[in-house]
Amino acid sequence: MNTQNRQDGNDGTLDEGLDELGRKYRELGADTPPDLLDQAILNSAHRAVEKKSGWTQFGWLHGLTTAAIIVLAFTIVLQQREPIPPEEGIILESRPPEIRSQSMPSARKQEVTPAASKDLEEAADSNLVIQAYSEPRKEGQPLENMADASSETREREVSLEEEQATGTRAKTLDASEADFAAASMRPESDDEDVLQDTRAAEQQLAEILRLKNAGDETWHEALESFRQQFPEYPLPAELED
Amino acid sequence: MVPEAMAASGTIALRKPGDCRSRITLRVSGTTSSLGASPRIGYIARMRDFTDEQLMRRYARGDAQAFDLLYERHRGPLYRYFLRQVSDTATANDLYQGTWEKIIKARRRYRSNAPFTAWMYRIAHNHLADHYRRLRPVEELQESSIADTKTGPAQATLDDEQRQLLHAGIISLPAEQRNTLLLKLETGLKMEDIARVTGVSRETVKSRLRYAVKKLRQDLPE
Repeated sequence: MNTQNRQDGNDGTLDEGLDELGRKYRELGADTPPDLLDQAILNSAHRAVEKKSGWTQFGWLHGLTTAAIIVLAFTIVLQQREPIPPEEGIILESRPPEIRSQSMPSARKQEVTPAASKDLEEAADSNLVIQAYSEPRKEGQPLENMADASSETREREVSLEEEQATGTRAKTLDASEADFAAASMRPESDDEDVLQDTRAAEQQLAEILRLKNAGDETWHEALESFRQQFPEYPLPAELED
Repeated sequence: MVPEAMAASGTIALRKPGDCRSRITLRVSGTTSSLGASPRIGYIARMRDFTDEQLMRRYARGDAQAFDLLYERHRGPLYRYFLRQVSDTATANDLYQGTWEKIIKARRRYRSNAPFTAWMYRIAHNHLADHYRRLRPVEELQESSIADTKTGPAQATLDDEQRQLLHAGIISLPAEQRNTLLLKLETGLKMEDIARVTGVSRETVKSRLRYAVKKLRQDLPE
């Protein structure tokens, strides 16, 4: 205690007094707590650290699980924000009416590619439905009939004779396709104009190539029409003279 | 306390010096190897070289044997700290046990940058202050309370009268002076640590000690 007091920087009087008092104090007796009290405290201390639930034993697992969930959630949010690239081939614009009128009668008899046919049918269906719903519903005519009209067109294969017989509907189909194409080609900005034109041109070129590969001589006329419509558009090697 | 012969079950029996009757049995948890309890005992023996701060950190991590050693080191001074400040043994026992319960609960909050003794007596001091607040403002000190104090066998050079005078003198000190004096005499803490424990400045601690020493010198015959 003497060393500690000197280290504390106490004055000499206080140091001496404390030293003297300390000697007398120690002679008071080394009183200690009762044994039962000791045992109770020790038991309590042991119980405090031995009592662990299943989860507490793996406390580190809490942090790891939480971190994993946060990382997963963050990854999902990031992926949601990434722009989805436009899929190629989903071109909803229809062919120009000139090509259709020249080539479609025979083309219709031929098997249309699934993608192109699907696009055309979707365009036709949607416009049919739109037209159907835009017309005032006749009294007593249920709404389901209007929807049925669009579903019927999916299964039809229209020939020239059927066109005549169902002239109204075929014209409506062509007109609807043209309307849809026109509506879809109606750009909202200059950049969209360019994109739309490019898509239309590519689709026409694809159709022309198909006609040529199929041996249909009408591909010449289709090509001529294409050149008139897109004079500056580069042609693929197969179509160049 | 010294450990007796180690039992095969892994129990350490501590006997108080000079006391043939009382024993404190510290449970040694864990499985017993083919060598009996010796590996575990060796571990505990090595822990005796640890500082209080190391033992407390080990206990906070779940080592109950570390607490046993810590308790062994501080049970006497802490008990006497309460015993010399209150009027009866029962109250001292309650305060003593309550302080250890708080230490056990606060084990995870212990920061080893602070000395363990100062941290422990800070808890004890606050516990005692709460006790005083619950008491009546003025509590008469009864003569009989001095006789109730449990006194262990001591190799005293003072006669009984002087011991009683010293004890009475300490009890009669104002609470702040008594508290500060006992912290100094029992724990040997530095002035700065006592200031941290009691929540006052170092100069206030010195002042209280000065007054306490002066009064006791007057009460005790030379």
